Amino acid sequence: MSNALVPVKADESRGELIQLVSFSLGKEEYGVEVLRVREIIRMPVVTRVPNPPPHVEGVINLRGKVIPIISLRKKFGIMVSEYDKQTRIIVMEVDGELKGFIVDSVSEVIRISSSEIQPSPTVAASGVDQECITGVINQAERLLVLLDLEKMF
Amino acid sequence: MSQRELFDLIFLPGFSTKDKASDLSGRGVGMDVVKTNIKKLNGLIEIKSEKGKGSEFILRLPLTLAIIQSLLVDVEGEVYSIPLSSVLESLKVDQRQFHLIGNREILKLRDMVLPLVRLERVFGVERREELNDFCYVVVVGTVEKRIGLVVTRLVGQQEVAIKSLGRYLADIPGIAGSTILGDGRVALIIDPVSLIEEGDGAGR
Repeated sequence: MSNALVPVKADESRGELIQLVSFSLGKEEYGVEVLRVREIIRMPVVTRVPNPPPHVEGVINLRGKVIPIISLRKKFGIMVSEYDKQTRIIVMEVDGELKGFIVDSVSEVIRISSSEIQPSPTVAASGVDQECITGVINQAERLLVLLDLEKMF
Repeated sequence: MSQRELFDLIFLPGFSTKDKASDLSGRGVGMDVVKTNIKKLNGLIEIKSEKGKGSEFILRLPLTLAIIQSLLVDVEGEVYSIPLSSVLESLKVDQRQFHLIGNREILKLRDMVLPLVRLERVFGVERREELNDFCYVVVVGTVEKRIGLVVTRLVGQQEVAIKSLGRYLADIPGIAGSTILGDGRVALIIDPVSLIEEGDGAGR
């Protein structure tokens, strides 16, 4: 989380400043805009739903609200792995409804300026639907794939 | 302005009796949120107040809105809720009493031939328990059309509050909604009508 607190230097502030929640799925690191994220929770008991839409793991009880849980690994065609202590659900309002997205782990909130976002290369990471990738962020040590989950539905 | 109208002022967004807002309160938001949410549930809120004595907030919420009597059943470890209004009877049966007509299982119940629907098959539940000779059949339907839902065991009768599954999961066949059980788990509510219609066609 330390990055989030570091004040932005003047030369970085070209373009609009945005904050991203970064999370990992398989080998890649992804980011979604922080304003979209309602909350991040640990894996609760998931109730399976029979014959669900693709990638839906089931539903959970989020403080009295029943919301669907979607596996981003399945969605992106990455091998499904067991859930562990790091597994998190990112709850977001997508398409007017709360939905939870299972990710391998959530690492931090980072600030970047919008000028750092590059258009995504034509061959996208691990089979993600092209239309929900808004861009990539190429920083010294890391590559972050920027997602817009709204476009997934 | 009558006293009632005066009291109702506190529900207006941005109306505050405080001169200064603190970190937590004083911005005139809270009571507006209360009012909007109660309205959403078709409820009423009423205030009685007397200077120096205290205030009374009376909340009226409709009970019938979303609470139904239901029969909770266990299907290979998963709990489902069947609206009691469509349950006619339930019985413990030896599976060896089931007959096969074509590829469809039926049960001779008194003078009736009852088509059976195995919930674990319709809902694709993984078999977790040893094959048991005995199971329970919940007879659902109307006078002219009945089916028997085969379940592992009966859990009990319970009042449940219906929670919508939302638009995204609105069209799950055989499922009408969901509810939250006492232990916080989500149980799905079965829609017997759609199972009866489905049972008509496909030989499940």
